[in-house]
Amino acid sequence: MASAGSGDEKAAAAAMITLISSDNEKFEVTEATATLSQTIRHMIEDGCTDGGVPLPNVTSKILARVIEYCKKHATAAAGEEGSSSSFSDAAFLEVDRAFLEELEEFDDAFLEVDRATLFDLILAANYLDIKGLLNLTCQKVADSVKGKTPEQIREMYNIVNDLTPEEEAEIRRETQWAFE
Amino acid sequence: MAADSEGFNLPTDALVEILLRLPTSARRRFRLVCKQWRDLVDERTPERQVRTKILAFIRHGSRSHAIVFDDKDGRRMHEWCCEPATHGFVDIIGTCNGLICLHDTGDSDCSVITVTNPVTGEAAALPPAPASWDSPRHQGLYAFGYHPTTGRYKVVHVPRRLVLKGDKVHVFTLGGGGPSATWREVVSPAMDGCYHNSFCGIVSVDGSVYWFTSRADRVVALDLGDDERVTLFQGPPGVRPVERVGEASWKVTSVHARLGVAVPRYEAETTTVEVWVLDGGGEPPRWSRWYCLSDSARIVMTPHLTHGEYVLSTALDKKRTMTPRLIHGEYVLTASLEKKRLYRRKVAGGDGRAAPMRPSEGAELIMSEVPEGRLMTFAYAETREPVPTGRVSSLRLHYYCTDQHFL
Repeated sequence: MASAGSGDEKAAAAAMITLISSDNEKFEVTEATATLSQTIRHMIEDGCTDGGVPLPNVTSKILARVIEYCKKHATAAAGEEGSSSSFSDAAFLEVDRAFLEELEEFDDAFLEVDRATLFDLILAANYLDIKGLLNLTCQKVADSVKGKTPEQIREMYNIVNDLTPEEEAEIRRETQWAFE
Repeated sequence: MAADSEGFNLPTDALVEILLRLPTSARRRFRLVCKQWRDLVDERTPERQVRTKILAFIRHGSRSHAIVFDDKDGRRMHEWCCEPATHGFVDIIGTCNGLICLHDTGDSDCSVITVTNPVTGEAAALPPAPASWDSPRHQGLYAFGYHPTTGRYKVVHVPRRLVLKGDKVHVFTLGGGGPSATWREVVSPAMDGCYHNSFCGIVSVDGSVYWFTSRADRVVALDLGDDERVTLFQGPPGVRPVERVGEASWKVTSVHARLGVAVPRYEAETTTVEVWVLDGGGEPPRWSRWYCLSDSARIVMTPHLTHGEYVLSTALDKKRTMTPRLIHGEYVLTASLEKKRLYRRKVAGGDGRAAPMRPSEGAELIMSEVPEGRLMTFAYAETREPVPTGRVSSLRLHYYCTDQHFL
């Protein structure tokens, strides 16, 4: 981890971006970390990041988690680039594999949050356009609902069934015919 | 922006992202959640139909095999295997939306019905069907069906009655009433004295279960909806009343998700199968002859006759002789002289309703060494359909081999 840290610092010397949460908390991050967000990348390209990037849709609590994710994955992206440019040595591949495993463990631990936080992370990932984070969080929700019945989904999320009995009958018919 | 932990207040785009990451079967099922979900599945996710595969179920001694053929080339396959808990054998009752209903026949005292999804490994056991001295529960006809408007899965047992009137059938609703759910009797005066003909089989099609009366000239239909209505109607023109149940050679089957009756005519070298399809269940019912299949091989008739544009047939290959006889201690083991093969043949010309027709000449071999035993075919889709809650079953399908070419 020491080497990853020093890499971070080098990049930090290059360019830092200030992100401002909805509750006015400021977060200093490297450009490499910030540009995992396509939204921020476009802002940087348009040169409108001086004085900080206000993110009125993201609370400090969620922004901190998002930055934690981006830092980890920005390091991973940097690591990948590094290893591909160097000769592929068995030792390098071994390091890569260990790092990917570590990243997977990080993702699993990262998702250990309550439903409200998970939904906030999805909203943030969607707004900031962070592909990896959106994929990770949406897959988590999809995995948690895929074995459920429609009734259980409605119960879980307090969804009101606004389908008429006729519409419901029509859907059931179509659902069955899909298997014929 | 804090999400209310009680609700699903995600913006549409995020909900679409979640829906896109669901298996197709779950996505289709979730069209029932509410209007928004239905519209998003319809408009924002790829509308792919779940293509069914052919599932061949073969009972071979005490071991049963469920062999699933990949629909694209009809050749790749995988196999599930199951054995009875004690003695007897495991039979198949039916398949529905990716669920398989199996029957460990045991004997009259232990007969276990299990509904399982082999993809998820979920399984639920049903309590034993009601039985009496004249009606052992391992006898009679069983069917497994899904009612499209109620969304319920039901198992139907048409008991074999030696003495009583034969006006009752047993129905079990999965997930209805939790673990204490029981079999219910459906009594209908319409069925009085009709019994059933086990030679003609039973089939579950689009929310109804159909079987023939013991004289094999009339069809009994049980609607699997909430009122479980029973109706009787005349069979297709190809059938006639029989004196003994065994004289009936026709069978109920499903033809493109409709009730079909396959009426065979055996001749010296060939079998011709006329396929009649129910077009309208009114009085009198409307039957049309969809196919007239003529083949030197034996056509696998039940309960899934047509699969897309194919019909399945088996043939014995007499050229290659297997070890005919083996002396083992004081026993003589005999093996079949022939190899049984499974073919599929294209039925030319769309739904074939206009004119009777023959299967086109080219039969494709899809399995060269079919284990001996009774062979039935089903439509099967690999889905993650949940098994409606019930008692946990110990009977499971064992994944046997994967993507193996048996040719």
